Amino acid sequence: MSSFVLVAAVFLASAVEMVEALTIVLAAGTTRSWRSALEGTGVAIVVLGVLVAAVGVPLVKYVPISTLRLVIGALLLIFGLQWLRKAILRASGLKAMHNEDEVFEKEVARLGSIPGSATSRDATAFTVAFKGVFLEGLEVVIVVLTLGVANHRLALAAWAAASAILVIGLVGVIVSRQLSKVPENAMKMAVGLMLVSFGSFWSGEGMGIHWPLSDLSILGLIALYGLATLIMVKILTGVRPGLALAEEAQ
Amino acid sequence: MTRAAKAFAMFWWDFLVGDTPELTVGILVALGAVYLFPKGSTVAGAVLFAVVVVTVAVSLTIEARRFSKRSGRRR
Repeated sequence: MSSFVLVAAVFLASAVEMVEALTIVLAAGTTRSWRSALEGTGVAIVVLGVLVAAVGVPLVKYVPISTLRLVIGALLLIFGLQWLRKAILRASGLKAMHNEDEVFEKEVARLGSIPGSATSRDATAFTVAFKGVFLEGLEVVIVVLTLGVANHRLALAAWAAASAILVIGLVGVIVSRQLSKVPENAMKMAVGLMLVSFGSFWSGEGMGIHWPLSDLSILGLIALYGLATLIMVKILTGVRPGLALAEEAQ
Repeated sequence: MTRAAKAFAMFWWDFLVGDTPELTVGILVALGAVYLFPKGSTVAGAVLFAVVVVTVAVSLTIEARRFSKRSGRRR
């Protein structure tokens, strides 16, 4: 059961980050050069894959599982709470929703103003696509490493991330500029809930907590944190009627 | 080399603390509270959950206050 939740968490987290990266790649490809933008994307994905193998495999092999679970659980808790907090603020109107169309338009305008290159390869498109995919991908790497290593299922986590990249890539090719239709905040909230639940479970295991029902407790934690999240969204939405003027997205 | 080390440290600082230090402190408090319980305790799990929820609630309250101040200034 925890494998299913693990795959779901990695897949959703990767999908959210991939949507953001895809917006940048589409902007670079449309305005500059598709070839260079895709080359930048490819190189970034390879570098990220090497990073997962280089860091993840030694961790799984040489660090005791209880130490890994405590440290990784704490990291997941911090990371997950940051996602969850942001998603709650957006859901309650205290923070503007992330608008991929707006990001795309801004990026297109910025890239369009940079003079073109005389050669067939466009360094700007390559660099922008590489940086976008690499930086967004780093968060995916952290999720893959933490969830994969703590559960001793690094390969499964890596496959889930690769599938998300493939699916969002294909969807991106088909829908192109309609990325704003992806329910990004709902996905972010779901991932935040899963990361916090895994983080609580594993840091607890690392410190010797006895979880009733063993791995199934993760589902219970997701349900409880989900309930707490709904209550917090309700309260925040309720106490700020008329003040839902969302601030600019960070 | 120093620049690379600084950039590496900054990355982890931003990742773990960033603009929400209250979350990091809350998690440390939660883990510290769990440490006080004997191994094999089930109650410690409930305590961990409760402290995590309180941590998010505190962080959201801080942000709501900031939002309220900003809105007040705009009006």
